[in-house]
Amino acid sequence: MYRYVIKRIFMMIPIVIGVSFIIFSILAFIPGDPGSIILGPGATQAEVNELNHQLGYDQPFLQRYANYMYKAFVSRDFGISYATRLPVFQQIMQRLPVSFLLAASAMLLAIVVGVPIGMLSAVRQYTALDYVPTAIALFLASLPAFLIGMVLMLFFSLWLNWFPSNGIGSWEHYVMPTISLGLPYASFQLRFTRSSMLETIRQDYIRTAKAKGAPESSVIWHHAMRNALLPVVTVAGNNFGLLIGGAVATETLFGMPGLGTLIVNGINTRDLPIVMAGIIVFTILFSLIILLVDVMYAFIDPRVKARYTSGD
Amino acid sequence: MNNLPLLTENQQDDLVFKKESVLVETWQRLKQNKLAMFGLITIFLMIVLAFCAELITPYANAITMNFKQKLLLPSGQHWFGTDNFGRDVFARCLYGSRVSLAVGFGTSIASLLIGSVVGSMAGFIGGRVDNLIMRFMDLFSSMPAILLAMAVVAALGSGLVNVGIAITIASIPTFVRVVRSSVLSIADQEFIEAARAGGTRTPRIIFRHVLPNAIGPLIVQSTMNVSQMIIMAAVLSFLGMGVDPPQPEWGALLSEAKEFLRTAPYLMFFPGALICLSSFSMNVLGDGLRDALDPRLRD
Amino acid sequence: MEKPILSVNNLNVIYKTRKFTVNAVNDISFSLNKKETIGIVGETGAGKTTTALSIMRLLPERTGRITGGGIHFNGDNLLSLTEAQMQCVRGANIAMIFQDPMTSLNPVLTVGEQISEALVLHNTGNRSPQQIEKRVDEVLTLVGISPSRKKDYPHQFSGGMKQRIVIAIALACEPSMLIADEPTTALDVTIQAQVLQMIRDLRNRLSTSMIMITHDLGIVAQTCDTVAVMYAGELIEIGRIADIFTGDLHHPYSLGLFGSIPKMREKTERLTPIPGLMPDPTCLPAGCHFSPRCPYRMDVCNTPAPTCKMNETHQIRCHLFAKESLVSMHLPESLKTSPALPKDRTQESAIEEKHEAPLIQTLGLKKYFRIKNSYLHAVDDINLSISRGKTLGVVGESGCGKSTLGRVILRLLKATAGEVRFNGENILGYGTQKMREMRRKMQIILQDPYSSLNPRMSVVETIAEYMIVNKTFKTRQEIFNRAVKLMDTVGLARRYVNSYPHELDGGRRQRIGIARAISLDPEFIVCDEPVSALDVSIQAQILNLLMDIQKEHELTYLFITHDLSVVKHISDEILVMYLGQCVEHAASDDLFDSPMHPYTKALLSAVPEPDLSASRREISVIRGEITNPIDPPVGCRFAARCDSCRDICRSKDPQLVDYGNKHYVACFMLQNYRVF
Repeated sequence: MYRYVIKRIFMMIPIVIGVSFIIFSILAFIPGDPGSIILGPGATQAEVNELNHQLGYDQPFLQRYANYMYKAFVSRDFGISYATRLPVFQQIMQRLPVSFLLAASAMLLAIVVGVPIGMLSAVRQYTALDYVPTAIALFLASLPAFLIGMVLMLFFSLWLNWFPSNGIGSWEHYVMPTISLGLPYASFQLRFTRSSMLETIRQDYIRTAKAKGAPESSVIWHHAMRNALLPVVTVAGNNFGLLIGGAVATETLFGMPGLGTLIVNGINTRDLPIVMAGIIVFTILFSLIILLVDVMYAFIDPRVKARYTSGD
Repeated sequence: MNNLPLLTENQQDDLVFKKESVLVETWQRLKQNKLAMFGLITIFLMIVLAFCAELITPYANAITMNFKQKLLLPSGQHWFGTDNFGRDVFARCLYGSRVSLAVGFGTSIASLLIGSVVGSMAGFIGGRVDNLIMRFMDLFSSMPAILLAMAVVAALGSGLVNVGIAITIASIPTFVRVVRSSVLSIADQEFIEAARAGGTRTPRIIFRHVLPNAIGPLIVQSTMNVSQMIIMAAVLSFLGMGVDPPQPEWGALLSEAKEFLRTAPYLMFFPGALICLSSFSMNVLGDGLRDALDPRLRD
Repeated sequence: MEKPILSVNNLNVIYKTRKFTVNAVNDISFSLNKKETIGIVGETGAGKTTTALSIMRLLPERTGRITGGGIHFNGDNLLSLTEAQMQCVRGANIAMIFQDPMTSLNPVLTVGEQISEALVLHNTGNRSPQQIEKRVDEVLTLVGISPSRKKDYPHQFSGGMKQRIVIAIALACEPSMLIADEPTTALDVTIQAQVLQMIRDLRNRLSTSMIMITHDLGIVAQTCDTVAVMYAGELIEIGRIADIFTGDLHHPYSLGLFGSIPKMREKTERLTPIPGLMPDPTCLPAGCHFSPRCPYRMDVCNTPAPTCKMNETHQIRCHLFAKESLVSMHLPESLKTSPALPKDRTQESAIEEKHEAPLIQTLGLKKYFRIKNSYLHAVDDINLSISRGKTLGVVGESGCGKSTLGRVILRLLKATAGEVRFNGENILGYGTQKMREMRRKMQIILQDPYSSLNPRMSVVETIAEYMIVNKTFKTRQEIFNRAVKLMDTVGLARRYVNSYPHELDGGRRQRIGIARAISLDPEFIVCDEPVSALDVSIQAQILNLLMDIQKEHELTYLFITHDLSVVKHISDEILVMYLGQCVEHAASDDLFDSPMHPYTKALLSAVPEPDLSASRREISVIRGEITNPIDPPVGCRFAARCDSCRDICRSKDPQLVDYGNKHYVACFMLQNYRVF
């Protein structure tokens, strides 16, 4: 088990290298050189060239990439923001907690709301307890998170004045962003949990449990649930990527100083070091979540655990 | 099925070889699903309206500013009201649907085509090629899709086509996976072996035996994908990385509406409702298709 | 008379969906005495499982409904119990074993947990947790599994072991009645013998009454006291085992069922299958449901058939027996237990072989699959030859490499070493083009009639596909016309030309597969378990068809199967495979009359036969499980399961030795007997 986790962490290295290479290559297409972006239109060509030389921009592409990676992962030096002239790493670390808190609370909301209701819908298939949540979930899954956020903002900030609509001063600031980001994913979790549960309660071993004389509740909670949760856990992990995507727009809407807004601003101001590092950090975060999910999976499913411990 | 005894079976002699596709049967079953039919009809109407936009109101109404008429409530003249530049929101929504639907459908078709080719190569050739392709796809799917799209837009610049390219790239990995896994499961079936035993060459096996059977999950995936792409395009526009102003687009309309949430909340309502309606329609249609194509539900 | 433990009276069950209603069980009645076993026999769709699920009250909740009748267990009407009361009956008084052990156990709970659950649920004796644990150990020991494994999960057990665990769960609370629904169908024959023997022993030891649901008349003969034959939801014949297996009067369907089974004991030239198919359960024929297929059909048959008492215990539901002028219905002579001497076929085949070189020959054929850093020896040094027009049967249990062998011969899989000669030429050396031409001459009929046909191609397209690919005719019309003629040849009605596979049943699908295989006029066909997915009456039709086509086109077959009675029926020679190697190879009759290798002997004695005298025999059950030949050690691969294994068996590879009359066996023990 132990060995598996370590192996998986090592397997993240080529992913991070690959992703950063892809992003580095894509961003290399952005017109303009760092010198002119930093110094602005007032600077002379000589000054621009000088700065470009200092930043190593006059070196060939691969050389630049290698330098970047070396500095980034050996001395945690992700460069200097073009806009603020501050070290990128510092800015990212400042903002990471905001994004992480938002994503984690939204995920929690999605699981706490989506999974139990999904279970219930499956168990009570063909009743109102199935139809109503499924219909609502289908509707919510068709909305972008920021649209839910706008509606919430309209009702609860502007009209009712219950929650602040901008910033991150207190826990109240997180309520609406969490709901608006969490609801579409809750509805996704609900639908997925429901179909997984429906699949599970048709399995032969459920019939075996019934034939033993197990009451309905024991059949559902003891036998079906753990099996039904297996795919749900995986999907929850994979959806974290979507959640991060949604977080970018939600942060922008609610004016939260998170990683998402940092990257958006970075793109708008062509602040490449910020964009580059932001995406790399998000990717690492995402990979860690997937790893966490896989390890959790092994705890629920003895078959998977056996495969891991045997070292495959 | 049929229960006449064998003896009387060999009687009909006028044989017509007709080609009746399984798709006909799927359609029959889809027709029974009211929600899916609602989705199909809604999305069809939206496409028709988007195509015939000129017949309803000229494009000029969507972009001409008129400061005397700004931020008007919905009325007989301006069905959806006007925005802060006095532009007719109905016209903007209508012309915006062109962009949003084009992006939604266009990117899905593009990812479907690219995904099918790459995915069936991975699944059918297998071995190193498969490994290489899939590891490459792993890279793309370890980046949150929206960030990848944002980076691509940043590199290529904003605009309809670039947004399309960006979100196509972001959605290809899913298609590759879907195609690959269905190709793999089909390649495992005995009828592929039977085809080989009859001397069928590989291209014919792929096109005649594998792909027609893989089409079901692909259709479902594409339909669902349209809905996701509409949302993703809206998010990009909302972040200011979509089409260039003043061209209208649903997400961009929402972004504009954000500024006037207090004074003119109706600005948010119409584009929001359209995004929701189109995406909901594609979702229920996809759900219905999946049920209609599911062999376990066949009787 | 003793009061029966279970009596089912006029039970009716329907499955109702939005579109249609299926009458799954129609008005059946039977009773079961204490300590006795009733067998319910019938083909797919006969309503056997539905009957069992009705007794357990476990019918699918939304669709299944009991519409009439009563089920009395120990005097209580089960149908009037509440669900909570019923939960106390399930597991405690009536237990059930299901067909597929692979899916019947919960994958995320340990087997100990799954057994103790039943004990905790029905803890009438107020056992303490320690006592429950002790009981779990007892039960595991009872089914032959070491109690030390109770902390293991189901995936750590083989199929046979899993079924033992399912049985342990069922017997944990010592129920007075056990329902076994096809308990051994998913298992290999030697494992089936182990499990069956265990079920019988436990039943006798614990004095459990039992309902044995099966399609296999052999299992019935071995385990049951009473037999009920079901057809299309009706109970058409019921009687003591002697009434059914040795009596003279039978329902025409029962006769057909017996006539459909190939016999192990003697050579039947041709099976006598029941024509036609099971009726569509959504629109059953009026009156007697069997009448459309019945050779004795009368006008009166379109009214419901009466139940006629033949004697105290034997009842038949058929108009034929209602009349005074009884038509005497006899079992076919071949069914009687007389061990008729096999006809002398070796003589004639010997004469033919003299002037005919083999059509197919393999020399040292090997196929190894690489699995991580080791090799699975799927086919390990197989030498065989088949003369033109003959059939070589290849038998073995799952994992013995028989299917791989067929595919390597056809070059659908690449051989690791060795030669495959067709008419004396090694086809493994052929180039792509030459091989493509060669493919016309050798074909395959595959096992699974569901996955062997492309679901997107109509019947005529499927049959025409090979001819289109090989450009046999110039125009498509010619090809299609020939395809239709092939449909006639395999007995497929022309009105199915445009049908799609999912619209047809297994038997018809398999006919399509056969038509496709013979469409290029091949000389040699590999039949890979072509009938194992089919019901017995359909199986007999297909076997007859295969033999007819063989005669007509002078085809040569390599017939791969796990079913010994089928292989005996169709083959001239038989090759027995165990873990990739040939252990015995002889003429069909020789092999069945005097099997020599311990594995062959075990295999033959493991098959339950539909024959009372045979069932009285002491059955030798071999121990152990079938393993994988991954990097097998030197020595006989059967050594681990063999009772007469000696040191030499583990240190040297046994070679095939001719013991006269071309009877080859690879076993040291026989060689030793020769030497001494």
